[in-house]
Amino acid sequence: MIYVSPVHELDAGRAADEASSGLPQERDHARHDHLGRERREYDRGELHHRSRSSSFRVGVDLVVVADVARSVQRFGDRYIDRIFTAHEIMCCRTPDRSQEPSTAYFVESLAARFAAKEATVKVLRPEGTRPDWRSIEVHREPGGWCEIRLRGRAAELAVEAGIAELAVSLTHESTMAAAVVVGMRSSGDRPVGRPDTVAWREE
Amino acid sequence: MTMDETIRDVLTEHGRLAVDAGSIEENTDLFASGMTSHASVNVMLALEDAFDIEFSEKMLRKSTFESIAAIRAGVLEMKEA
Repeated sequence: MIYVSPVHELDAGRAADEASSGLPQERDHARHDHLGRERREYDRGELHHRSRSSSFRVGVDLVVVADVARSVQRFGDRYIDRIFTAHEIMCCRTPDRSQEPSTAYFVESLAARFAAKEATVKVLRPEGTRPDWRSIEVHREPGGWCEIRLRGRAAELAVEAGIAELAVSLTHESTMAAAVVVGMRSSGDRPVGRPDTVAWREE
Repeated sequence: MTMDETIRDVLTEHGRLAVDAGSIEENTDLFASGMTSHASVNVMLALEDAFDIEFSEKMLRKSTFESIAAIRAGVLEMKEA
């Protein structure tokens, strides 16, 4: 069973064919989700997407934890401060769950955040100057999950691309760290690149 | 040591290239030669150390570090800034 938003509609031509052939014309049933938004339920695996203006961008990146450890050892705070925000550094130094603060956790967490920044850049697709790494922040929420916050050039790129929301997922082990970022581009009937959701400004 | 030799030394130590940085052509694409985004950060920091410069935000573009020739141009631009 697949749920899609109303902007993805059955191919009109196919519907016309069905009408003329006597086959069932309606294969989808309008529904509403818990937020009252209309959804359509398709009762067969085949799905013809005809996306009008809404779309997604996905970025993924993989980082070798040992590479980050070497950078920290070689360049120290100059590396850390050039790439990561104060909030990110604080989060990497202070695990929010059962882990004890450790150098290994610190470096793994930095690696995951670097992966998230690169994955975000892949979503933003800059042409020319790329955003400063610190303009893409992995912000840890009180519940423990993370969100991407943008400012400066990164926020501008998001607005230009019509990206209204970003979602991120991080993972790290002792050797590798990875992140996936999904950017949802706004459809025509919604505000494009709402700054309050994708950008933050320095006070 | 010439500027190009210093750049090649930095690439050898930090570029994580799959090829010999000492012998590649100056216009060879370094990213296509194995340099990762993270390695390019180390290259940038090592270049700043080697040439006593600091790359400005406007220089933070992939093209700045895509080849030895591009790096040389970027270093010269920052030294003249």
